[in-house]
Amino acid sequence: MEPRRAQEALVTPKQASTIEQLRASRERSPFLVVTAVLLFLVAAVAWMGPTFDLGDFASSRRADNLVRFLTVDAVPPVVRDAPSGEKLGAAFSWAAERLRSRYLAAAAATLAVAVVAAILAALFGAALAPFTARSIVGEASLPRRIVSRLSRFVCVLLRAIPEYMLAFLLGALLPSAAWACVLALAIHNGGILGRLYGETLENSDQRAAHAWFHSGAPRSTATVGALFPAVLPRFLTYFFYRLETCVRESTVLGMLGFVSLGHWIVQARAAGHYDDMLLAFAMGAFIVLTADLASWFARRAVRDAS
Amino acid sequence: MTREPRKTDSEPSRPPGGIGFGLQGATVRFSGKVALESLDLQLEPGAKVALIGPSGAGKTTLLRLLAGTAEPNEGDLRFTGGLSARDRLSCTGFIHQDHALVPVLRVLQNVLAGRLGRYGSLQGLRSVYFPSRESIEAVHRTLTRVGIGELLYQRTDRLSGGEQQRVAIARALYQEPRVLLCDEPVASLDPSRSRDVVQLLIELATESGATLVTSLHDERLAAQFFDRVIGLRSGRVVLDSTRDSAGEHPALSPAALEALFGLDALPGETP
Repeated sequence: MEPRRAQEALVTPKQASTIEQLRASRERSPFLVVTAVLLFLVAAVAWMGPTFDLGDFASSRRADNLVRFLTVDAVPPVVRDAPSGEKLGAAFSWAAERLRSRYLAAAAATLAVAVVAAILAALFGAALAPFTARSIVGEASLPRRIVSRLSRFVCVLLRAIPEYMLAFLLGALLPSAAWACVLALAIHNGGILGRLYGETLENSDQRAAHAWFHSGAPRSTATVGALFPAVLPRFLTYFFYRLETCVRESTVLGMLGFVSLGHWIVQARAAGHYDDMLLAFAMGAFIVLTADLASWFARRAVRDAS
Repeated sequence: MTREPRKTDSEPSRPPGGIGFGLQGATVRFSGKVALESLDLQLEPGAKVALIGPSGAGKTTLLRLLAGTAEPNEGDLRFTGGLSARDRLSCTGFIHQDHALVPVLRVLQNVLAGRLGRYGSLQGLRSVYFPSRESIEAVHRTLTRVGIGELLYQRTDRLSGGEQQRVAIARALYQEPRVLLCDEPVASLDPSRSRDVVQLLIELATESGATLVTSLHDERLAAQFFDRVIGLRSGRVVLDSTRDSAGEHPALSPAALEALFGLDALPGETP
C-alpha cells in the first residue's frame, strides 16, 4: 500500500484540476440516455393502455379454462376413456394413426415448400448480389453507387413486406396456395439474401477477381468466375440460416390454405379438437428443431470445409 | 462425375515479340500524394528490366502504369504495337506479389483464367469451367514448363507458397503475354528459390520475346540476371544501369546503391 500512497501523493492539485477539466470537456453522446428514456416512456404508455390487463392473469375463469384445457380438451377421448393401465398405449396408437393419416404428409409438404422457397430465394439473392454490392472488382463509380442504392432499396422493400401478407396477396392471384406461399417466402428471403450476399461480395478478398479483370476479362466474368467460388461457403451459410426460417414460416403459412401443419392446426382449432391441435403443434416443433439442427450441422460442415 | 472435355475449341495464338514503352514526364498521384514524378523512360520491345528501390519508391505504380491499370495524371505513356486498350490488357501478363489466385479453384482453372481477355463473358466462363481437351493439354504443357505439371487438378489453396507462385507464373505464361510484369515475385522465397524463379522468368520471356519488367528488393539478383536495372526512389529514377560487354553493371556501385537505398534524404526529397 505504501508505494500506492506515495504515487497518490504525487498527484498535485494542478494535475487533479487538469484531469477534472479534461473529464468535463469529454465528448458525450446523449443517444443512450435519450433512447433509454424513450423506451421507458413507450413501455409505460403501452402497459397503461387498454391492450394489457394484469387482471387477465389473475382471473379465476382464465385459470379454470387452462386447467380444463390441460386435463380434458388436450387429452384425446380414446385416451380419456381407456382403462388407467392402457392410457399410454392408447395415446401412442392414437398419435400413430393421426401421423400416418395426416401429419406426416403435412410435414413433408411444409418441408417441400420451405426448401423450394429457400432455393429460389438463394438464386434470387445471388442474382441481386452483384448489384447490391457497393463496389465490385474495383468499380465504385457514381452510376455503380446509384445502382447499388436502388437495388438495396428494393431489397429493403422486399423484406419489409411480411411473408404472411405477401402470401395472402399472392394467394388471390395464383391458383395454388402452396405456390403463393413458396413465392412469398422466396421474395421476402430473396430480399434479405440479396443484401447479405451483396455485403459478402463487397467485403470479400477481390484480388484474384481484380487480376482476372486486369488481364482483360469482362467484369461480369471476373465476378462470377473468381468471386462467387470464393464466397460460396459464406453464401451457403446464409442459405441454411434462411432455410431454418423458411421451415418455421411455412408451418405458419399453411394457415392460408395449403395442406401443411398450419392448415391442420387451423382446422383442429376450428373444430375444437385441441388434442389434434397439440399433436400438430408438436409435429411442427419437431420439424423446426430438426431443420435447425440439420442447418447447424450443414453450416459447421461448410465452415470446416472452407 | 467428371465431364468429358470438349474437343473443338480453337485457341488463338499471339503475334510474337514484345511491346516497347515510352514515358514522358509521367506523373501519378494517389490522393494528392505523388507516387511517380515526371518520369522519362524508354523500354525497348523484348527488354529485360529490373526495378529496384526502397519501399514506397513507386515500383508497383510504374508496373501498374505499364499494365494499363493506372493512368498518368500528367505526362504521356506510349506503347508500340498499335493495340487497343483491351488487347493491351489481354497481352499483358501480371504476376502479383500475393499471386492473386482463386484459392478454391483447381490449378487448371486458375491457369485457364489467363486467357479470359480473349473472350466475352459467357465464353470466358465456359473456357474456365468447361475447358476443351486442347486447352487442358495446353495448360498441362505450361505447368510442366514451370515444373508443376503433376498439380494440374490440385486445389490451389492446398499448395505451398512456392507452388502457388509457379501457378501464378503459369497463368501469366498461358496468357501468351507480349509484356510480362512481375511485382516482387520473389519477396516471400528463400535466396535459392528466388534465383530459380528469376531465372525461369528470364528464360520464359526470352523464349517468347516478351518484354519483362520485374520489381525486386535484391539488387544482387537484379544485377546477376537483368540487362537493365532501374533504381527508383520517391517516384523518380535515380539510377539506370545497363550491362556492359563484360556482363557487369558498373553503374551499380556501392555509392549509387547507398544513394538509392540509404536513409539520408536526397536533394529535393522530403525526409
